[in-house]
Amino acid sequence: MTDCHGGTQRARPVGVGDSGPRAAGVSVAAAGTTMVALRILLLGNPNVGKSTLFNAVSGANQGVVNAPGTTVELEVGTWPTVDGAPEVVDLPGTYSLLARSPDEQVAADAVTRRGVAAGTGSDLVVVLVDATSVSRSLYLLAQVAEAGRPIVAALTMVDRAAEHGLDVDPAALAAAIGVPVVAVDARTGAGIPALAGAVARAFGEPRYARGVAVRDAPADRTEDLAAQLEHAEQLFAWVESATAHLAAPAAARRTLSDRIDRVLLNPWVGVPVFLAVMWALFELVTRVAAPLMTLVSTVVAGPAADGVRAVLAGAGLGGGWVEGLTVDGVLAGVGTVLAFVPLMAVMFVAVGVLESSGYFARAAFVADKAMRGIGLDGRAVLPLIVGFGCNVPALAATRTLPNARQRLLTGLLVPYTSCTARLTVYLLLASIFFPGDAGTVVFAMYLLSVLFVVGGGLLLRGTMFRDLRREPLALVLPSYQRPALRPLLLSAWPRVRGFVVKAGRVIVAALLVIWLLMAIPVRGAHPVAQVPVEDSLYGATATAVAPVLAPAGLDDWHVSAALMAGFVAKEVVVGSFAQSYAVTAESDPSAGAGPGPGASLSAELQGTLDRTSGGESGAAALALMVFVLAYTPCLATVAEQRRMFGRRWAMGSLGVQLVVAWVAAVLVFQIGRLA
Amino acid sequence: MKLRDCPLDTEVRVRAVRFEADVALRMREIGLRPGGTVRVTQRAAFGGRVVAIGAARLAVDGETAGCIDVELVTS
Repeated sequence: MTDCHGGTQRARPVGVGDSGPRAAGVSVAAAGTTMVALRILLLGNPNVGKSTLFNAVSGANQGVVNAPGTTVELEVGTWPTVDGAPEVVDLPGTYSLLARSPDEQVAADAVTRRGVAAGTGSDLVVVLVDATSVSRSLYLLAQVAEAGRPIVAALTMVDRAAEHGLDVDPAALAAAIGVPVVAVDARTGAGIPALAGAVARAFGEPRYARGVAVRDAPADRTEDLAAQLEHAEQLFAWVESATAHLAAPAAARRTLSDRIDRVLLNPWVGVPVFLAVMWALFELVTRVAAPLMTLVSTVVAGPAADGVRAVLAGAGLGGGWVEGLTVDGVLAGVGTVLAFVPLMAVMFVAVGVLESSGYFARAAFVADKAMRGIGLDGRAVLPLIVGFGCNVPALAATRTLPNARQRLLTGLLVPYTSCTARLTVYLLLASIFFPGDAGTVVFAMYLLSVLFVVGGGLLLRGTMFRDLRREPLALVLPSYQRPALRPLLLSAWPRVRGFVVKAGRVIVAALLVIWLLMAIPVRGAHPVAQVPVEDSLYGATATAVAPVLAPAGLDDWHVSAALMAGFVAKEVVVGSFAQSYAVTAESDPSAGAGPGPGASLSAELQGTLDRTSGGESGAAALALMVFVLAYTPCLATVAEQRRMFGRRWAMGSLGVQLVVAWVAAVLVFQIGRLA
Repeated sequence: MKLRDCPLDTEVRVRAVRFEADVALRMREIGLRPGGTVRVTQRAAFGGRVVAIGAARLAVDGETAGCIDVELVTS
């Protein structure tokens, strides 16, 4: 976490050898002493308002980093209203420091001495205590106390507790547990200054929970289970004594959330409502965000490109390879990245709305049965559905899964969900080769996509993800509440920025390589960057690759060139066909069947596949569609997978997709031509 | 009686949570402990249940609800 600091931080000198629990942080050598920046960890149960509190205290001073050696994301910022603006880390939500997932392990390690050794430890832990479930929160607080950490407790959900007739007095609770307790409402900002004051005082005079002995060895799942249970009972006993002063909630009080759940979780209504919400999300990705993407692309390809060309012409560099590299290489790459920004922002905010409203937990509950059938968590349904709109935000939506292995598994399946970009290819080919059954053929592609996801899920669960155990579903349901926009925007911004910076680099670099391949002539006397595709290094590569597609009845350089272009984005496959055949069909599939320029593309494709398939062009067209369905969705997906899961997984996923696509296409063609 | 068979809005006491020890520990950590009092507030699809544990609400799937023994609170 040493790359995650922003803003000015207070540092304090510590002596050599002061490497105990309270000396964690970032070390900076200075004149014989070690300066250690103060660090605060935010810890709490899931859905207790931790991220909202993090956004409230850090404002815009935040970023997203991966916990060291993991793919678990942490939000890290500074707390400017506390003297010295200490670093504040929003840890993954957990019910216990006895971790049951990689995310929970990150939280546990940060709090315990393992975190100190790894440099992720803290000077202070702010434990969020849910006023509607004080006992559950105090169990976690007790584990923090056992790790020897000073604690400040932030009491949240006080208004929700009041709905149940629960009146949790912060002063009485503080007296019972021995650490400061401050009631906060991060959505309104109430109590935040008081919490900042308590934190500042705790740095000067650390407070430790009363009645909990510090353990030499931190809590660990490797302990004997019987010992864990026995020890947990001791902590529960401490929690019971600490909460003895609290009144029991009013009996059988039915809250507004209960009344809403009567509808949204009703066995007959719950599933249709869930499907409607998922449909709305899908529409948001495809209909609302898509025009914004088009707008950005149009601005970059139009006025921005014209501006760059004018500047280059003014500098005497117009018309040559410099202009080609700048406009068609660098600017096109930047434009591709920027075009995804509105989509990613919309997705992050939409997912945030679902989470903070409380509905997301219900959606996971409703979908759990279906997802469990293929070995996935109920929450995986959201990214998989979004994937049918666009795979890139779908990968981003995997962050809603609380387990890093579940995120990875889902992230590997997302590329097999057939995004709308692939639909343009299906429509073109189906309208040319199956004019009477185009709708059925396209529908079959979507069915096949679902089969790929289900089959892939079962296969991965049975092989590389056997460690993911099937566990009983027990999901804490937060109360429904109206989402606050500011925290959502504050949370979405660093994630969008992370995509632009990290995934953007990969996208721009790869597009530059492709531009270079298309700019270098290998045949004829063409100047650099003014080469017909077939005479370029790109065309030569496509020609060399084409025989690999022969078993699928697709041995032609036009096809392989279009598939190579489709690696960048599926939207350009149709354009690539048109370009390589030197026709102007563009992406209007309906033009393919009628007279005019579109008819040329139709005739050219028909002729090509007739030749490559030995007269079985229908089977070859189906094979081509299946290949398009299964192979790499786009460069942005690969870049996002790399950003989220690392290069090894991204490259492995890419390789598997190519193999699956080839095998499936060959099977379809070989079986299809027999039919 | 299993939690799955429990009538709505009726206080019941958890008698046993029949899972492997590590899962049972997590159940206890989130508040589902033998001796604790719960109340089913909602029946969901596929046998799922929402139970009230104090002011908190916990959703369990049908299979899980079938592994939790409860008894009516008589007093």
